[in-house]
Amino acid sequence: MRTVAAISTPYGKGGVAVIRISGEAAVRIASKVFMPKSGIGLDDIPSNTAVYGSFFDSDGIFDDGIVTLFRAPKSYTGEDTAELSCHGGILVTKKLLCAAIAAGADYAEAGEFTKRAFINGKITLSQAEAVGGIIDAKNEKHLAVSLLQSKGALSARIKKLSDSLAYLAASVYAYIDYPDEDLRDIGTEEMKSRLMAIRDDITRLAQTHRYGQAISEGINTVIVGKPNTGKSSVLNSLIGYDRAIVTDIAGTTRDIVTEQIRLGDLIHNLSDTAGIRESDDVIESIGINKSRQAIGDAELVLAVFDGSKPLDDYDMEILNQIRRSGKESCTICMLNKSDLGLVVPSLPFGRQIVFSAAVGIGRDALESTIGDLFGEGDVSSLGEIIVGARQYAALTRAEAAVKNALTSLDGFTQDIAGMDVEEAIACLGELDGRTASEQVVNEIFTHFCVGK
Amino acid sequence: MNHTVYKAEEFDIIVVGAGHAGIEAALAAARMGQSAALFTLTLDLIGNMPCNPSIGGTGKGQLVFEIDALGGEMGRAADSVMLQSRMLNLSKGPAVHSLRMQADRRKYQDYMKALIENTPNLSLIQAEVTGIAVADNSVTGIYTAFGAFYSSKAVIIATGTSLSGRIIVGEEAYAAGPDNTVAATRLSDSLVNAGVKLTRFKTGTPPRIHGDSVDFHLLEEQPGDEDPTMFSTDTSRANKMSCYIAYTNEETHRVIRENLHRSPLFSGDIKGTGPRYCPSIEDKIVRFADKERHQLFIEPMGENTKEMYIQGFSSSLPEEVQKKAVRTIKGLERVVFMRTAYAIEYDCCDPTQLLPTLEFKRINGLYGAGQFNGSSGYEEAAAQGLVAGINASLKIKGKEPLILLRSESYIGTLIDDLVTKGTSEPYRIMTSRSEYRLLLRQDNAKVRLIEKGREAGLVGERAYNEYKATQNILESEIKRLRSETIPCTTELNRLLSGYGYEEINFGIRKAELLKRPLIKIEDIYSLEENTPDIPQSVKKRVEIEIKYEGYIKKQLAEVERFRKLEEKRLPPDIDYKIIKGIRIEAAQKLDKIRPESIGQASRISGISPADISVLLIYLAQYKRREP
Repeated sequence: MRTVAAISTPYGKGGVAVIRISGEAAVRIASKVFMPKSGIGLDDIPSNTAVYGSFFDSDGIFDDGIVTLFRAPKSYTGEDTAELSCHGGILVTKKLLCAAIAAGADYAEAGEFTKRAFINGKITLSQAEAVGGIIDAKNEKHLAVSLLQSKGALSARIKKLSDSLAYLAASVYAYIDYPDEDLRDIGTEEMKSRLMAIRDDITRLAQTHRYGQAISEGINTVIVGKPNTGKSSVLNSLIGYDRAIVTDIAGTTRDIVTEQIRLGDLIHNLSDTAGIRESDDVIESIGINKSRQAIGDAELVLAVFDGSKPLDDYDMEILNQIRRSGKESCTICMLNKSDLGLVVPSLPFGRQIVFSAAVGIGRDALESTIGDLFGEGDVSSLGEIIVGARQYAALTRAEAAVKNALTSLDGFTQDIAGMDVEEAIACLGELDGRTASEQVVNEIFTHFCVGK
Repeated sequence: MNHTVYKAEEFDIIVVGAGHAGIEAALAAARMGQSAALFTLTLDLIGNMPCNPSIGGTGKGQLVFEIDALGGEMGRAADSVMLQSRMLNLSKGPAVHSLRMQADRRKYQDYMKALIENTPNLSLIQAEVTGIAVADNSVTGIYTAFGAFYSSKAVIIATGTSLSGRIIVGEEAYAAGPDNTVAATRLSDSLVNAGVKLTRFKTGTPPRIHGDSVDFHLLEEQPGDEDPTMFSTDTSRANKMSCYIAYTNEETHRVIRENLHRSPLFSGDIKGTGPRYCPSIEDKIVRFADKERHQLFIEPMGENTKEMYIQGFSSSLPEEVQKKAVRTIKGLERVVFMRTAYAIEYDCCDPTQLLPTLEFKRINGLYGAGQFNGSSGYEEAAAQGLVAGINASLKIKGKEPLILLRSESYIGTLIDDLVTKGTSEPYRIMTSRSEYRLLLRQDNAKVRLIEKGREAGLVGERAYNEYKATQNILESEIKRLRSETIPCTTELNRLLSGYGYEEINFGIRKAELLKRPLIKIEDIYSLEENTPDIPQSVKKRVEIEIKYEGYIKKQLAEVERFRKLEEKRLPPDIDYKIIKGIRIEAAQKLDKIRPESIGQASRISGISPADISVLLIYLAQYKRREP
């Protein structure tokens, strides 16, 4: 396998920059660009030790710095690794990287160090993904979650789930493969209750995705309401005291500009149709279809009404759209202008907040209601949160398979349900980059006495 | 090697060993028109069952049906000497119903010997094969202990436990094959010299006791099924003998524990790796110390003998301890020993040296089959023997090899596991080894495999036509039940409510009704006025195909995914060491196994999904380079 090198610190000014070299030839390459002050060759330097010295290329010495060696397998990638710390200027950093390349290293591809760590079995897929999360983290919660997962917190939880499923499958098949062994047949009732516990566990874990997404990708939030209900003042309450605009991403499927804002731990992707500008009237200017689409795509609908006036057809149409899109449960109805006297009694669905942007009523309620919907809620451990969409999809499939197993147990036999159980194990294995069938066979022998 | 070697006869295919693997291999070769010779150490123990006198069992039953569908002999032989037939796991789904048949051991041997003697193109020869001849990486024949050289185009090694066999009973050990036959002591060296990597495995046998000394009334009788199922024919035969169930107890365990130091398994005298699947009794007691009792199975050995096996009590303890331990068991207190249990160590090959055709990758024309390939069990052996025999013949004829897939057979699963993953202990087939259990049932073995057997020339016209006729009945019946509707009648609703289902006020298609878990096909027929006359076995199959349709479809979708990866062929000349981004360890494993497809590569233990993605990228680039 080739030895690769890359600048591992942000490109640009900085006190120190680190160039990482990983692969069989890492130490040899490092010794071609670095001369330890002590005169002891890098080959003779123990692992996990930093050495001071000079960096040089064919033109001679160009910087002083430190080299740290991590020998396989005790390194991040699992391979021999040298980390070269030089001064952080663009020129010197580049020069050092070029020197390493000239000495035989190849340019590392994006994420290659982490990929190598995965290939070398140092980390699981979900740990690898967490490393991506650490790098991409846009807020502290996301960072904290990613850090824990990079250490294997999620993998451990998935493994536990997968082990309990493997135990069930093994119980069923051991009984079948050894009918003469008077093994205890795991009863259908016991299998059911175990499956239900696993199902609930998976469901709980899957539900954390809402929060995981809210802290990483952001919540697709739309603000709807007829003109002059005060959408912009609601918007300002959302971002007013934490106006941290993170990015401007040009939408890919629709020509809509999404603004990403952060509210506490949560990120909101506010779409243009949501009425970021007061003049932009959803119903009138974009039409019924567009607003229906905006509501349909939203994970959080903030429906703004003028609470000081009775609801009219316009308001009813908005409520209808929300209902037709099936978004009742993630809609917050805001009765704005409550300082002018509240005449709307209550709305047919959704969480309801009495609000007044003008005098500042309801801000806390809004935040805590959003918190109820997307907050940490039941999350028992930060490390056990489903962040990525891929993880969520695999988990959802595992959940469906466990549910199928439960259905199969009503009427069909255990081995048929076992097929669903194996599918669930495969889905969990996919989540973590492991595979299933061998696991089941191995399990049979660790838990059961079997004989000819 | 002898000083003088004479040139004996020439054959197309030579099979070394006349156990269950060798018999199938030799019969297949001869039936496919090759001149074949079957060598055995003793003509008196052809097709011997030294372990226990039954054919089939979980997973194994499926193998026998598959062997039968391909035109092999095991099923027919078992049927003709059946003592008792029992379908296992009937309380479970159809995927795991497995037939086990007690066979008359002596009659089985006679059946096979007579058959071989009467098969054209096939010579049966008693001699110890002492070496293989290899020139230019191709096998050219074999040497025997009496100084003969027999030349051949292919050699199939099916030496079972006889290859450098060593029997161990307590402190006593000596060179021998199963049942005190002579061991083949010289062939191992010759194989090693030819470049074959050998390893050492161990297995065991139980004691044999005199039937008159067993108090059967104290044991649980296990008769055969009321309506016995056969492997090869629809014509049922009557059960002749019963088996009996006994249990070990605390006292048995105490006797064994106190004498463990005298067991060669624990003293270190046995070096070979034993099977987890059929551990010796001392092994079971050590490893599963909290189990209060172990079930034993007293099996008859035949109609003309009083000898019986104590299945589940295989042991290498000294004879004295064996007797003491067995006599603690209820019903066996005054038992008379006829043969002492023994452990046997033997040489076998690392099966990852083999192609899926069972030919050695590095030696043209040399094949391995049965226990020599690291498996355990008669059925596993017969299945491999059949595949090796067919492939050796096809190769000589210049035809495409027969490679059975995991998705279509247990035989394919067994061989793929062996050649792809290798095995660190004697390998036994199990239903849990297959990802496609619901498709690989006993009842549809012919649907899956008969065409292949016919193509190879092993399935006769009559058997094939019978199959076709049955298949037509099956298909038209399924079609009928799918298209016909049962009107909404009081009878229908009485049936539904009888099973606890809600009554309906509309008609329902018969197949839809049958899909409800509790409804049986007989229920449907009871509501009909004109039911076509259909054999019972076909009815069962119709029921399975309809009732489990949803699951079957799911597995078929998995098979589709599996096939896509199998179809991604890896070029035979691929150099894994130069592939960018592949781990050294993975490259070494891939280079050793040399998988034929991405699918096979993904099943090699230690190859990670990441390695596979690297391989897929490489394959895409490789294809782009090739015009």
